[in-house]
Amino acid sequence: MEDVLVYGLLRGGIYALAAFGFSLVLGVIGIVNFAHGALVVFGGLLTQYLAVKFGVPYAAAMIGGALGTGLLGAVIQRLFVARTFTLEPLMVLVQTFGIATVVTELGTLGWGSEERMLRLKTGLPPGFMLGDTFVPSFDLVVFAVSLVSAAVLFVVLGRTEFGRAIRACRDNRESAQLSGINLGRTFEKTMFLSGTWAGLAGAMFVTLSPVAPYMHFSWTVDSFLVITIGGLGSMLGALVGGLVFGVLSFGASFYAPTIAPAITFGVLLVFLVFRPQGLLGAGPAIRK
Amino acid sequence: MATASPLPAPLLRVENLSKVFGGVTALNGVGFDVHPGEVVGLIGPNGAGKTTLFNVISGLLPPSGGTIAFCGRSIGGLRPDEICALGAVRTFQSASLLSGMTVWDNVHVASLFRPAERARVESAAACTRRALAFCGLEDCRDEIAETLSIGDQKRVEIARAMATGPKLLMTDEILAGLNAADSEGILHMLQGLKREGISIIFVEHDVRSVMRLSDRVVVIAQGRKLAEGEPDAVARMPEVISVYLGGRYAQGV
Amino acid sequence: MLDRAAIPRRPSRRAVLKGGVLGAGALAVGVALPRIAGAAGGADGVVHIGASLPLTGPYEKVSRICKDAFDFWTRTYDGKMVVAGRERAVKWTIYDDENNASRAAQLTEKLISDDKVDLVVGTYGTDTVLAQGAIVRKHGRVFVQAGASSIRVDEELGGHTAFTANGRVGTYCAGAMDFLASRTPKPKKLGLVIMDDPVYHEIGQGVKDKCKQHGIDVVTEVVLPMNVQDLRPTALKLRGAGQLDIVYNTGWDVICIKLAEEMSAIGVNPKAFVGGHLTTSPVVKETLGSKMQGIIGSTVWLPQFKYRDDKYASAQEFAEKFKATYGYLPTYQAAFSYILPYIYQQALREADPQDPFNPKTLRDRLSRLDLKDTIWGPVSFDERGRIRRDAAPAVQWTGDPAAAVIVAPADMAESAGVYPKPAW
Ligand SMILES: Nc1ncnc2c1ncn2[C@@H]1O[C@H](COP(=O)(O)OP(=O)(O)OP(=O)(O)O)[C@@H](O)[C@H]1O
Ligand SMILES: [Mg+2]
Repeated sequence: MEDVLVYGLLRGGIYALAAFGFSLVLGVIGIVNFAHGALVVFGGLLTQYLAVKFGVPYAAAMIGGALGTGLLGAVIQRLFVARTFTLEPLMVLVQTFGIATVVTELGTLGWGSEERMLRLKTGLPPGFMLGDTFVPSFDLVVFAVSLVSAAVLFVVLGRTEFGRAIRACRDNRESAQLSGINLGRTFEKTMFLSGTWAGLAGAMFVTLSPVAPYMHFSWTVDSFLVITIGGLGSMLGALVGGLVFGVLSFGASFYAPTIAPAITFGVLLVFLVFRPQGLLGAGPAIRK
Repeated sequence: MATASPLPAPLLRVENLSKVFGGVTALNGVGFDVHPGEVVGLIGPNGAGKTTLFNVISGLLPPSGGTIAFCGRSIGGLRPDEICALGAVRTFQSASLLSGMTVWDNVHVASLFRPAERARVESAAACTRRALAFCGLEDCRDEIAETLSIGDQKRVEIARAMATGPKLLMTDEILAGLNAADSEGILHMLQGLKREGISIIFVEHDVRSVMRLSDRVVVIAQGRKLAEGEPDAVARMPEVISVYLGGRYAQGV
Repeated sequence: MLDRAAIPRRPSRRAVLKGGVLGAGALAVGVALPRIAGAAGGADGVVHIGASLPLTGPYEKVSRICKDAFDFWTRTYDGKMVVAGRERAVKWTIYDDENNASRAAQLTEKLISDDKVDLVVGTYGTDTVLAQGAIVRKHGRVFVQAGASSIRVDEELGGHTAFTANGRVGTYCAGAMDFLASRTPKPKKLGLVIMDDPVYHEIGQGVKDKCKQHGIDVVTEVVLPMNVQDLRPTALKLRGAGQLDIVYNTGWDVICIKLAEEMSAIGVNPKAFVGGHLTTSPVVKETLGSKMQGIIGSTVWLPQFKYRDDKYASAQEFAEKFKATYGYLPTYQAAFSYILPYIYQQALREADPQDPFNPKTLRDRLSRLDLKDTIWGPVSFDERGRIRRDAAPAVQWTGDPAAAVIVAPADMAESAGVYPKPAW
């Protein structure tokens, strides 16, 4: 019981990390980005590539992987989403799905379809006991990075000019523009931020578990579940949602592995019916 | 119509402007000038095209035809933020704020994104403070915009517009839904802006306020300009009375 | 079939696009055919072999291997097959069944009724092979296949229609389990991880049968959905079962990698870890690194196996020649695909010249077939038409960098093997 909770929370950190950007893009640009999972996977593979192919130290590879993914996000925004996001939401959905496919196929061409993993020699002890639960050191590092980067994102959004612009565009696109904010540029920056955090999630995850291009969709779905639980438009919601989802999916896989997906989706339905705004959502998850 | 006294070059010149939505022609060859420091009242029946005109001038909608020149520069087709940076700003018919953000943030966003040459003169925080003070919003600066009363929301709209450092302010029914005291406060603020040399296009259904504030009045109906001139003269024009003023004002003149 | 192992199960969108094109026209494997007329039927000196493969879709890659292996057999014999003492040109017709059972059935009908092929070889995948078999059976014909190893093939098509060149999946674990049972101290407790799909349950059942035979307790059994992502919960379950001697995972490569990672992360250290369907793909080794040490896998074929036939002095030579032709080392799928036309060739060599492809006599010949030396090992079929093979050999990764060596069965073993394995 205790170990299920601990391991679930540890996993939850990464889910939250991945979901921040998904939530941000949904809140600000108003699109469900089906390519989000592809960004997570891209970040993981890029990090692995930098570390293995060029011998870049992990910390630098991680930052490179995250920023590279951010850049990819911004390029996707400029070349594709910017041209369609005002159209029928369904069209944008189809478009991001297409982008996910293209990114995945290109990733497969470049890196192959095999699963890849980055093994680190951290010099840390393998882990320590928390009560009766063995906590692997690196899991804890990843968890800490998740929390710290959540805090960084919090500060970026709450305190900086850039963050204000993003929030302004989220709250009211027209007013924001009439306050002098360049909507297109702000959306690109939003996608950059979203991609960076997605890439960071991938960069951390690739040290824990193998990653391959074909895995992108489960990241998208998980991110969706996280913000449904946590609430749209709130970074704190994404964090809490990530942790809750971590425990939920871990518990489901532990106690009832064969029906685990059914359980997590069941909870999603319950949330959509009884608490559509999620645990900490700013408002109902409906587009303005 | 045009006054005899020589006027400086217009701040805004709208010529032959049209806007078509599918089958609906919302603007049909509208043209008028706004001079520096001038308040132009823009009146017309519901659906005349007033809000559409603002949407086109402020860059939220592309024009279907015609030209808009601001400070001698063509602005038709520019992005809203570019037009804002040039100094033409507007308010919305129903207050349209950054609803989840504080009053301070609402105004501060505008201060932050002023063009660089204006940002050099005054810090963003100072600009925000000045705008809040002018609109009497210091006491509620930390409140969330959507929790404010209608009157205060309209003040925030004006403060936000002010913070951008405008040359031209377009207000769209800023008095609608306000009580007498709030209306009076807002009119005072607009008069203050006028004294600072800011031009205003004042769209309002409350004709008395229009007559009081405006130097000149433009009347549009069904997307066309119907009349233009000094307030008293316009108020006496039979076609304006029949199309718009009707019982609203005529008896009072 | 089992080959989620080698190929990530990623439905290809290209399948949709290509399917139509490939499905429409026959795809003849490139063999130079001297003066063959359009008509088939054997009398004109041509052996017409028909097949379908899931050339698009999730099994795209593995089908490619199978198709190359058919081609490799054809090249090896210069495009000719001796039937009833007479050399005939070989003509292939291969369709794309998109891994879709009804499509496979349809195409098999077309092969038999329209294309009038002399011989049918099976496709790749349990459901498609079963669908194919139903059509073959309807026509009273027989076929040789290796693309489905589930016991369902024996139950539904064995003894009359299908001859299966692949061992029963229930026997996959036998080499590894027999090897482990003979170690000292003798393992007593086993944790079993089964993927939730009939084929994997069949493998799992094989493990349980072996445990019973050897007196090993299956102390915990975890069934995982096919789309399982996180293996930490499974590792935790295994830890909850106390000190285990053996962890047997029926899953494919990535499942084995993830489970090994998670067991290692939370300190679950069994004395042996068997990746029931772990392949020798280099990616596995790269990903697991030093954790590969001592891991055991089952494999039905490797170039190291001491097999030979009339053209190749060793499986190694076969593998090298294959690699020289197609640029990659043949997998077990290549070996079992190569063997399909080979089996027909051996069965038909002395067929009746009057009616060489008569289903009844072909069935008898296949049943009586007893080949000692082939690239696929000894080939003979039991009364259900299943190849006689009661254990898949086991390999163990040892040394640094780890290399797979055969540890069971004893007559093939290259090394005595390691037990218990080093901790992760
Ligand atoms: N986005 C739009 N799409 C289609 N038609 C529109 C759109 N915006 C305005 N219209 C139409 O254009 C015409 C002018 O509308 P507009 O809102 O500009 O009038 P208005 O003068 O501001 O009226 P009111 O005094 O009621 O605010 C109306 O017929 C309106 O229905
Ligand atoms: Mg209006």
